[in-house]
Amino acid sequence: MATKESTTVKEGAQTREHRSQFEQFWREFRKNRLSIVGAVIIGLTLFAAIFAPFIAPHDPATQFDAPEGEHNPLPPGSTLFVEGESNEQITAYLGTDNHGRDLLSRMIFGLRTLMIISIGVNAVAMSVGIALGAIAGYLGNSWVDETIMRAMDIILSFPSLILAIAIIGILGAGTTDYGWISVPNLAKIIFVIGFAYIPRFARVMRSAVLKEMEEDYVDAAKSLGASDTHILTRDVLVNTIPIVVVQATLYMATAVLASAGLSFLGLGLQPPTASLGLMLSNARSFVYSGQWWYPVFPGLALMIIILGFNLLGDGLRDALDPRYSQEGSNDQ
Amino acid sequence: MTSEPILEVENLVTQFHTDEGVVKAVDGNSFSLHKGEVLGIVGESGSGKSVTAMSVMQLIDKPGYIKAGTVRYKGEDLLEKSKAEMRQIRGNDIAMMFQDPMTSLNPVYTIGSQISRVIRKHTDASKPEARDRTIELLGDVGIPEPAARVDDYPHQFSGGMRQRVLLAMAISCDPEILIADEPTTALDVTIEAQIFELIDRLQEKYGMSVILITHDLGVVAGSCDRVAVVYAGRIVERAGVEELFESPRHPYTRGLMRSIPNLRSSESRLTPIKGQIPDLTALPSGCSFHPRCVHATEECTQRDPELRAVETNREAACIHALGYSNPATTRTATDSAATDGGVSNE
Repeated sequence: MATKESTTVKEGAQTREHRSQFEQFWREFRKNRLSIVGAVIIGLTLFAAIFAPFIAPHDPATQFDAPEGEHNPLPPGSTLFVEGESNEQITAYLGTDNHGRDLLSRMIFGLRTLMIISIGVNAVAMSVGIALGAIAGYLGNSWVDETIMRAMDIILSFPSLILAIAIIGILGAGTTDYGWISVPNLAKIIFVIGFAYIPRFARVMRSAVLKEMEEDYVDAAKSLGASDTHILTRDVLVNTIPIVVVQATLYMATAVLASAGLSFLGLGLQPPTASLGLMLSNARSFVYSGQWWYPVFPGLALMIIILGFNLLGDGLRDALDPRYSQEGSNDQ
Repeated sequence: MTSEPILEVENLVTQFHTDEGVVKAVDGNSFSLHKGEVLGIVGESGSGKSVTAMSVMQLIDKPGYIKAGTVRYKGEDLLEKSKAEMRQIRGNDIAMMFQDPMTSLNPVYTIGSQISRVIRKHTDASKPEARDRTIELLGDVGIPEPAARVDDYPHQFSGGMRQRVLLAMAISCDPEILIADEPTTALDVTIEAQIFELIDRLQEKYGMSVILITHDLGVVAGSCDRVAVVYAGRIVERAGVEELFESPRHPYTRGLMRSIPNLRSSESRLTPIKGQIPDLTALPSGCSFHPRCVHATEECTQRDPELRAVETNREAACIHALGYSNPATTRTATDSAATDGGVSNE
């Protein structure tokens, strides 16, 4: 077939600059303003959570004294006194709660617990869910796959919050002392919500692995002698990272909501821990008595954070892998 | 072709269990490949060409399985090898190149790392050694500036360039046999010519034997030494490339040749083969080609002709083929293997 002596091939004349996957992702991500807004919100929240002690104007647990003739909760901008030292004054920028604690400071510390919980929940759900899902997908349509996925279906058949409430109900709210180990309340909440979210990751992971296994490059790798575990870890899992990242971001929002929900119901974090859910729970009795700032600011904060996670998640989804954009959106 | 064949496939049967029934994708095929030879396997879509290749590599996924047959590579039956032994053979001794260069490379790794990975898997080359070899290979397959492009990602290459990369990957460990499964189907015609030219050149340079799977008779004429024509899972004709084009014996081969444009022919219309490839779960009785065959007679609907020598070094499976004798006279490798039963691979 010696038709042409064509050693100078023009096909290669493409863009020559080396563009990494990250740069490509960033170009896509930047296109959508809303995802930038989401990223900024989450970035600020993370910053506030990490540096809470330096940012918060006051100690979140200190109860301040209302001026003569007034009662806590006091509106934004009120001046209060440090207990026992009537000459030392503080300003509560967002008002105080019914115990005279500074609302802004409590909210900032609330962000900290919130982030710990949502990251923790995702870490638990992700590590277990990804492992189970990857095994199920890799051994697709075997009894192992069936067993894992039916177990996931059982967990999934309960609404996650109800399941979490039930488990907390069994374990009991607050720190539990099992004799040999004392489980702090925070860890328990993380475990309980995380457990309820395992199936979501397992399902996404399974379908992603099943799909990846069908790819030609998996066959190509096999045909060149790669082993199964090598293919799973090097080819398949790496290609599922975008989907997992997107799922995790979107579930951060639901985890925030779930933890706030549990606290609101009195089954989550216990006072005096600063928690947005707990604050809302306490504040609900003040809704009709005119102390609007008490429920409104924690509620707004929750809303903005959840919005932020969702915007960020959507942006990541579009930027990381357009192929999955339809699948991700109807999951909720 | 007097040398000992490097690959001998005998009575290979690969089936797929589906809800509709058992699909006989490869139904008792035998062929051999000699050192330095290019064997073409030609047939329509769904005739079992790719499954044949995948069976040789033992990469048949469920619900498919190799039911019977032997695949002897250098005298050893590959079907009896363990999984780990097979992994050593794949890539190192027998390498494969796939149809679609757009999807056969992993998008998240640079092409250099993907080729080096194969080299490092089969040899004890160090990272820098593997990289040097990779650059050399990329040069071999005609990628300009290989040293600069080794760190590029697959999406930075065009289809033709990617197929070159895949070729580099396939030959990276100097395999004895290269199986090219429709390597140019996804490419345009000018690139196709370049790729085949390249395969030809590398085949000579590395002394490989090549199994070229294609539906394109033009490709066969240009590149192959010998040809096996496959229809509905069976080899219906096998011959040297010149003899085949000179005087095709099987009506199906003749039909295929009439259905491609010929510059020298004065005919203004092409003659298609009427009908479609039969449902592999319910093959017609007798010769599976008879419903589409212009020469079909009563006998064809009852008698299933096996592949049989019709001349020295050429075989056909048609009772009307010139030189096709009665069952008692000539026996081919196919027949003797068929009675052995072969090895099941379940």
